[in-house]
Amino acid sequence: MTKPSNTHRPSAGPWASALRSLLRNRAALASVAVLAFIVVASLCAPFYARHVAHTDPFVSNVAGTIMLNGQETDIMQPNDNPLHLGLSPIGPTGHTAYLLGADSQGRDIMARLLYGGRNSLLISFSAAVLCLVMAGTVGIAAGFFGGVTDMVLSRLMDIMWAVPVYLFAISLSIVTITSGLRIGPFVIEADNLLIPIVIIALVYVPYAARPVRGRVIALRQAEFVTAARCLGVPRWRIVLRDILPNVSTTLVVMGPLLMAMALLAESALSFLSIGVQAPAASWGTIILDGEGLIYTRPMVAIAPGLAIVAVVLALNILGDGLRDALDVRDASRRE
Amino acid sequence: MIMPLLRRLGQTVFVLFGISALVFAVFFATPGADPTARIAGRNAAPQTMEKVRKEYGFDRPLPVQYAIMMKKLFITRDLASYANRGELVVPEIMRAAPVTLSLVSGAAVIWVVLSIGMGVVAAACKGSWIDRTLMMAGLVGISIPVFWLGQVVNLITQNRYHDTWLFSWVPGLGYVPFTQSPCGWFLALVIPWCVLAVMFVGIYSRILRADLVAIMGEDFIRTARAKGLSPTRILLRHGLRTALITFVSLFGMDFAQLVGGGALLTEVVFGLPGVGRLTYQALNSLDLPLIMATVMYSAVFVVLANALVDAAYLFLDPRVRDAH
Amino acid sequence: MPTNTPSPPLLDVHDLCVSFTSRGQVIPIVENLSFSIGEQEILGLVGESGSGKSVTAMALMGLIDAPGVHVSGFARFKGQDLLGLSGKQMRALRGREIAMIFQDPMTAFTPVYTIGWQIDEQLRAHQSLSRRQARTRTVELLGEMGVPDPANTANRYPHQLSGGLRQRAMIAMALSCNPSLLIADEPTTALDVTVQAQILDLMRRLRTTYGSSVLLITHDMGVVAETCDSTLVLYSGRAAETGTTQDLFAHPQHPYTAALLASIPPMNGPRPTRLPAIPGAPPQPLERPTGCAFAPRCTYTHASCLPAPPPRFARLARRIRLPACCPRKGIPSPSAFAPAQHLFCEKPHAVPFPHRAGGSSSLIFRCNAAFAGGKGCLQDLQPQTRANTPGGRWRLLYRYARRGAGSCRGIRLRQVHTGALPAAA
Repeated sequence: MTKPSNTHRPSAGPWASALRSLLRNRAALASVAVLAFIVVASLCAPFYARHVAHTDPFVSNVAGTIMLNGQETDIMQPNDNPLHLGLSPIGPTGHTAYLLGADSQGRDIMARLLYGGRNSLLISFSAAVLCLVMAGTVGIAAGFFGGVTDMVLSRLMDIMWAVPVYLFAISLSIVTITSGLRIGPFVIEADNLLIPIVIIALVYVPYAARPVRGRVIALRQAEFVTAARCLGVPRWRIVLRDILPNVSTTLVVMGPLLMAMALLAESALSFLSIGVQAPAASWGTIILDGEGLIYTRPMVAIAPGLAIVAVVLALNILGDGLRDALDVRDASRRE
Repeated sequence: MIMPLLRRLGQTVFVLFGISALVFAVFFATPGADPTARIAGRNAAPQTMEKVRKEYGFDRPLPVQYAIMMKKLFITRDLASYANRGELVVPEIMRAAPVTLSLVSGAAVIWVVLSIGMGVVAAACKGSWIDRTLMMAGLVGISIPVFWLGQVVNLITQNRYHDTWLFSWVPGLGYVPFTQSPCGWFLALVIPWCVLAVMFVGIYSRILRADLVAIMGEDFIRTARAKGLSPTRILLRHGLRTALITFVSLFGMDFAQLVGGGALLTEVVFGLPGVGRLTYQALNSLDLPLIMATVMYSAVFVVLANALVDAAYLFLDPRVRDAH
Repeated sequence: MPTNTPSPPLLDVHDLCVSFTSRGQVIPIVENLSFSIGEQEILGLVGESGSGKSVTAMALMGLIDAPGVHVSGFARFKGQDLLGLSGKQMRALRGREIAMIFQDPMTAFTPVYTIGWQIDEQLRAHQSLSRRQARTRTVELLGEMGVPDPANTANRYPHQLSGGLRQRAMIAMALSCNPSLLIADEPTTALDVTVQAQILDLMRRLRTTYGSSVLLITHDMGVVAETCDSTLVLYSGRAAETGTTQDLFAHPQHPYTAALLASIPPMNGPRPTRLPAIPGAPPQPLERPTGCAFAPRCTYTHASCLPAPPPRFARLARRIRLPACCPRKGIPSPSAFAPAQHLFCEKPHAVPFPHRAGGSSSLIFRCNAAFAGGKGCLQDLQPQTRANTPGGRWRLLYRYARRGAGSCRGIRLRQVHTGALPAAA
């Protein structure tokens, strides 16, 4: 009898082979590149504002002027109408300063766009991660422990599911935005970014927890889990060593999709002025600023919208690519 | 047949109770400020505060508060707005509901027709450039924030290209009741319908395509082909018919959520005085009773719609019919 | 059984090849398969999973339309070449002239329509019948297939019927247009044994009541023995052996056939504690050896098995049995087989395996002298499934059962050494 060969090489694990197939997916690679570009650009926001545009995007600058082609130009300019009534902010200049023009408070849109990107991306990313953690916990607990735990958690999810996502988020936001949140000794101010992060994460928990629960229920009946139980492996160890690694693909695939949903939700909340609070910017608040200027200075609203579309599209393509690469079929496909 | 219906009814009642408790908790039990201040609105006079506290029973235990609230919402329906000079909330919602219903129904027609068309064509041409183009279009549709799309569309149809032949027919923003002028109603809503439908066309066409592709690999499709049926008949009568089961259940959920206030952003952008816009106005004036009422009513609506979807399921899927 | 009918066969398949292209590589699935089916004949197509049985059937039905799949060869059916027909012509033939029954009746019906609706659909696709006429015929067919209360059953959904009833309904649907050829793809695999017998009985009666020929695909030698007039054994996409069922079972010519037969528990005689298994696994389509595909797993391999092109035989003269395995002097080939004692020489002999990595290793067999007779010989050794591991020392167990002889004989081989091939070989 031969002994098992020592030169046995482990075949590529699911992650390695998924990575390989993802690297072959040109659309997914392109979306990663787009995301990386936007993230880096947003991270450079202070640098851009200070050293390239020389503006402060958080201070109203209605009376300010800038130098354009050697001429001093007002940021707020007379309207084009025959009587030159009223003032409009300057449009796209094509120069480093006020590249995309100004908003109605005379602030540099390009700089605000980059700062807004930081907030939007930070909120949507953190919300997605937080949501995955919560949904993973809830889904695993409900799926693995079953019984009463499952019944209570599932019913809770059903109830949350029945409230339209945006209305749920709006209700939570309006309550916290008015007076902040006070939990015992901890006070979270109304303009804290944690509020939108937690709210958005919370409202999407049912969407993410359902597929996880389904996967865990399937896994619980898998033979290796039965074997582990028969061997007397403690339950927490089964969860950590057997269940979690197998659920992780589902969670990873949901990540980008959730972040896309979170970004859309964040921009919607900010657009309704109950997300990121002024003077801080996010892409949603800039669209809100641009609402009144939509016919005169459409760039104010169009630019952040395009940024949202680009990021959400890239995230969706990345999520699709991940799903194909990891061969997960039950990840949430909803909104 | 009776027992499963009763069980379903029991579940519905339970979820309704759960939702009302959840919404109540969100509005009145969130740690933070005194709910009295929230109800009474900004800078309310001390007398008003006192009145609110009495009226809503904020000096009594939570279950009592909950009961009072439910009574005011659903039985006496005399929940009044403080920010808006005591206007009764429930009738206000009832007045706004037809607008929302008009908006959502029209959009639903568009999105169902378009997404079935796109999904079927993409599945039929699986792997071709048509498939890839349609699915990418769907993905773009999913990725566009609806309120931004609405603004851009407004910019094009109301302003920049309003004077060209293409968009000169577009009326100004706002709503025209159907009873007043069916034609005006249609014209006023056609653009909002399309804008609202964009995202759902994307979602549904992608889901339908994925389902169809999965179903076309099933054994029964092979049987249908072995029977000598035409490809069209196989795709539509066997494939699509089976895929519609999932489609309909999703549709029920989304339709209900939209009617219940999910179309808020579209209504705001196009100035349609529906339930969503009511909520939006309440947001601006911090009119909590109104928001709470809309959320509660929409949740109730969603739950009832879900029950309806389940009933539709019974008709669509004979397997479910017998599973009970 | 039409053993010497002068009329041309109903279906004459010649050189059928199915392959698909994946990443620039052509992967052969079925290679040079030829067979024919006469009028009212039942031909069994036997082989393990992955041997290309179902692919053959799908290719004949024109149901393979996956991108990159290439089907070549001829399949003459009533004067037409099935493989050269247009989609529309094929569709007219499918269901009407050639019908198919599938393995799993659970999933083979569209779940959202009643059984009757689905049979009506096939009837109305090929014949101009009114709804009511079609339903009358459906009920009649179901009744003939032994479905109790056919009128009510027709109005039931697939999931409401038992597996046996569903398969009967499936057969009724297949027969609805009186096809001349019925392809049954493992029709009994998903059923339990008693129902299996009923369904097989039904299929046997078909040829007299409906005059249909049947191509029966199965992996169960028992089913073949019970049902088929002639048998074609497939191994790894190639025909291993063909002949009338009687001949084939009585005198298997190919070691693979013999091994398959050996895997049936004997009905009488001593009960073996362990059924013999063929060591190893069939080769992946891309790794098929140039010679006999079974050679790597065969105990009778000799030089002529190896470089030769895949055995082609039984072209049009199917009924003349051509040797599947060419015997070589000194080494018994399973066709001559008979006196098993031939193997019991103490002298080891070398068998070259040129297709192995390195090109020249040899397997040296030494027969176990302890083997005496047919009894109790299989107890102490286990087949090692790692037979394909090059360089490993392994024991190989092989048993050959001869039907008709009334007793089982065991042959046990033990590989004791692998090493460089002697220069002579």
